[in-house]
Amino acid sequence: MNKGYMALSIAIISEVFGTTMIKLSNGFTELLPLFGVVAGFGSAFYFLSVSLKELPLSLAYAIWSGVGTALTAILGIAIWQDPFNAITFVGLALIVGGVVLMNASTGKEQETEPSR
Amino acid sequence: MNAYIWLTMAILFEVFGSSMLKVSNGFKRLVPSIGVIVGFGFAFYCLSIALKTLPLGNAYAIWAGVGTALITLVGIIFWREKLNTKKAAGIICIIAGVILLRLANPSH
Repeated sequence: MNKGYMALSIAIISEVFGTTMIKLSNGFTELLPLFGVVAGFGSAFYFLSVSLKELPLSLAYAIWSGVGTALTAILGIAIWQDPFNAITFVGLALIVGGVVLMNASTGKEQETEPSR
Repeated sequence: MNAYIWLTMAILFEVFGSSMLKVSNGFKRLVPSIGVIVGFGFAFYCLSIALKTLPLGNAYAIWAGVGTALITLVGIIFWREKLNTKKAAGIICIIAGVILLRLANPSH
């Protein structure tokens, strides 16, 4: 896996972790989850910035926000019994499809354009 | 002030913060790094004010969808990132998906 995508994956996992901790922090009143929020988002922004050294902003940001939202939704359904309905399904499918399309579109570009 | 003006400001600060994220070169350059923190700080502050009157689901959906679309434009205009049909379709699908998920369950 290329370094840019590696950093982007860590950024996404950190963001999902931070978002989950927001929920656990109970309106920022629980101390330990609050540290989790700060650590999660700190790490998310750091690794997103690292990934942007190699990946185009338009690609990395869309994947970050899309996959982050999708994973948070899946966790919500799995852990917090959030409703899973047609809208959720279509939303998840669009994000997965969109990420696949974007990666298909940049495959060639990256071969010809070495990392800076 | 109108809540939509706060939401617009939140989006613009987010776009500014994200652009600085790229310029900061992995947080190695000081001024753009400060720009990231200030940008996202103001973005969340403005968003929290907008959320006092706007429904959470709608505000989050608009903020994430419009923010991602504008950041794509910033990449294309300022960093000359290429946009072909597949990539444009991909971005539109992702934005649509994010809007749907955030409308469906505002807690994201």
